[in-house]
Amino acid sequence: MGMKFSICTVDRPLESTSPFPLRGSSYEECAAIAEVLGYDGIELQIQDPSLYEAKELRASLDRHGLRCSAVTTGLAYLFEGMSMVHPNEKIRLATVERLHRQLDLARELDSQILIGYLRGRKAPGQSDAEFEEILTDSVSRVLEYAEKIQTPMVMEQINRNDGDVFCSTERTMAFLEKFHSDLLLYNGDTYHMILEDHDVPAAIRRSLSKLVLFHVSDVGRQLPDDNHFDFHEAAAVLNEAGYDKWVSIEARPEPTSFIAARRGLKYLKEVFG
Amino acid sequence: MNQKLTIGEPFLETRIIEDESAFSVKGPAILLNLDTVMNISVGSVFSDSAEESGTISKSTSVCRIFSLPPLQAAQICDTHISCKGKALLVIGADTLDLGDLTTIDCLRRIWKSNYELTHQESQRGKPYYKSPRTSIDNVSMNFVLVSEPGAPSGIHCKHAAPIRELHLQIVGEGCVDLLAEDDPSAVFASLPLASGSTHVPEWNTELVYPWHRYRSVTRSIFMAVEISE
Repeated sequence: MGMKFSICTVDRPLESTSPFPLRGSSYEECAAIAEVLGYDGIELQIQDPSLYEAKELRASLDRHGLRCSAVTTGLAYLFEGMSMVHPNEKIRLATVERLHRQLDLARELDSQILIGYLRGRKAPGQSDAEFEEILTDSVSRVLEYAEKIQTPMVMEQINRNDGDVFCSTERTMAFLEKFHSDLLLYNGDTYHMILEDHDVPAAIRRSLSKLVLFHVSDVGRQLPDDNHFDFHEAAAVLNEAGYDKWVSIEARPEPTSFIAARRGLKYLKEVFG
Repeated sequence: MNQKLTIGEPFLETRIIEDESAFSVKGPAILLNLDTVMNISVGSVFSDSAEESGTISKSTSVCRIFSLPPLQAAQICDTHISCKGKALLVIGADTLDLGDLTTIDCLRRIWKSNYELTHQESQRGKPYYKSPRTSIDNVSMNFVLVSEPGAPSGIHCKHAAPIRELHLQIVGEGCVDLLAEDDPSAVFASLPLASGSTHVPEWNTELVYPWHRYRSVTRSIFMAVEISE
């Protein structure tokens, strides 16, 4: 059993700077294309799960022989200002509640939620310790529900330009490990690793105990082109470890969404397969 | 205004541009002037200032601006456009290979066949597949895939309301046939269409049309554009 290949999809019009290569007016459309191209699964960007019928989504994916690699949550941060570390407690709790609903959706899809940007940014003057304390509280609240319904939550490292404190693989893994939960897992992302992890193969090895989703994305959120980063080396580490979970293309839809999706899978099969 | 439309996703990026003084276009694109009166300027908007600053000698300078007339189209690349009225920009035509069966399969899964849309028995098996249609003010448009060469659309001469109907060729080759009557053998003129082009107006001053039809020459994608009064 090898790695499973997936692609980040979105069902609403976003500018091409957003690194979701496969676009459609619905996830049914995204799934139809992903099936023909040969993906194993798709990653869904879900701002508000109440706007989706979980059973319909599941049926759509089943119809196309696909799995959901993750229910990704960052649109609620980008478009609603939600944040797990928001200074306003009401907004923090609303964010936690939103993540509970995201977990419900992920459970219906036999999947997991992915938390990246939704963890939020440090407030001006806030120390790393204060940021961690607030985030720990929110993560604990979400994790409690995740364990109750036995659905994984996955957290992503985010580089220092786009996130705070938990930027490197080591720092993020240490944070996750303190919760001692098999349902709190890790999303490695080459885009962030290139900027934060001096030794990327070592960082991947460090993450293997919790790694369930690996985003493949080059400098500037471009498709890999072997000119900036050694993806072959990263793939070799995963293959040597017998990694058999998700590897997902997260890149800009350039020159078009369709071509990015096609080239992305070709690259994954050639280098990671 | 720069509005991204979703009708071409994931195959083609489509934008409506309006009242932009120096809109940057990176890479190849197809530009259609949707205005019925005003030209669009295409080219480097910086050439005049370069001349004024002395970096380009006026005696050796060349014209770097092209004026695209109303309701005409062009292929453009790595340039700027300046328009007061509306323009349509389509990006990605050069990336679609209609000889590739995976591409055709994907297009047919997302765009609906005429039969799926109309449930008319006469449309069963016709190789016409339409993207969703969208309207911006007085302009409505959708893409059409014709998955076989030499496949004509239905002959017609009337529209529900007075409109200017354009066929903008996106991929492959096609033509608009003009017919003396509602009879496929009555073609008296054909207006050829290559990628990035549209045809001269078929209509007269009262927006009355001769019998006409679109016909693919190769497998093709065109855009059906209707501009109402």
